Amino acid sequence: MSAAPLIETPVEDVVDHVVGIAPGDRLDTIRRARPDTRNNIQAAHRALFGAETHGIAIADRHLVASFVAGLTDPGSAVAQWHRDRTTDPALLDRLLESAAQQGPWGTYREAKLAAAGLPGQWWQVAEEERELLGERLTAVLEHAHFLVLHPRDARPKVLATLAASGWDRPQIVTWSQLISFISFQVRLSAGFTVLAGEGLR
Amino acid sequence: MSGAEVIEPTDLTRPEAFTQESLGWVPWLEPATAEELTDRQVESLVQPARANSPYFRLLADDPDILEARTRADLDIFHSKGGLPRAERELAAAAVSRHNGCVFCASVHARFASHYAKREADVQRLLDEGVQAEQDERWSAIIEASVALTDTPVRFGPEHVARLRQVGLDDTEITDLVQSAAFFNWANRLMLSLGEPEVPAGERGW
Repeated sequence: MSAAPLIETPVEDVVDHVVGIAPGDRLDTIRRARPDTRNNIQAAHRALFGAETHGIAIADRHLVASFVAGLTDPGSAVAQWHRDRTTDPALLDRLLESAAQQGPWGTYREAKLAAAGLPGQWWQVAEEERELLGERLTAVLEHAHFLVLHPRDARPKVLATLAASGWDRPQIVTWSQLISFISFQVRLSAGFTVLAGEGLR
Repeated sequence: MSGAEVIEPTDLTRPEAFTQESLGWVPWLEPATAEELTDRQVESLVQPARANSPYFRLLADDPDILEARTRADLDIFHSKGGLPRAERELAAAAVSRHNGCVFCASVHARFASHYAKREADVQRLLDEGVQAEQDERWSAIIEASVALTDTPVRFGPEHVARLRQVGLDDTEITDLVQSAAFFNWANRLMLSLGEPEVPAGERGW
């Protein structure tokens, strides 16, 4: 799925952009009063989508990001923003249609928490999409689904499944950061969107 | 292309439940040693002592994202004014409890207890979960954190209204949103790249 990198129109701050925060807005003033937070959230986005570190293609990053965003806050502006950056939105929509679930669920390994576990259905990419995506990207999407929806099911064998598709340690670190960062960015945007719509005081 | 070798720890003493005790964290991928880190990787740790932590040495494989993550983390939890530190930590503990990150919950429950001086209330959050009875202000903070953590996200105007009712202003609500959202980043890294162990020892972060 390594198509040519998409040409990115620079956005000064992705969260401001998707929430619709304009210079001088109340939420803009509040965010800018925490410059280290605001600047480093955007720096994190740039680090993940501005370079093909460890040989992970930008197009593949956008596909996984749009999958995480579409699962986490379907129909949101931030999910749409990521979808707009994928090379095959129809493929993304097919993946999301079969992957949508409610979370967080999952089982605990801690002895006294066994009864608190909520087992569920591990998602797998359908055969047709698996052929389009290839084994390595399929493994990342299945890992992303687990990490978005049932992260407490984490075990060495789950990580080993991802590694077995051929990803090395630095690549696994980058993918883990990307999936986890988008889980954050989408929630931040969701929170700010509600706040912006509430008539700040 | 050969994939990473994943370690399956065999003789760990694992925690049995959520706890405020200090835990260690053991990686499932062998990180670089402190000596192997490049200057850029050391810089990305922000605080040099973090080279002692296997968690941060592992994340140093991608220094640009690690540095941004760490600087955002520090400011979200330590910035002056706004929501009291105790309640930022409470949000982090509630999110970690809800997602099921025993390690993250231990660290931030301990901080919440320390800054709020309300160890029993925090322990009830760990023992009984995010639905446990709390006072009105803590209930509102925990409920908002959980709504933002659920997938799909459930956070809505009713959560903002309740936070305002218990006295949070817009800056404080923004701090809360940032703290709760951030732990949805942190939990997923800590959960998926390694696991907690007892006792604390020197290997925790």
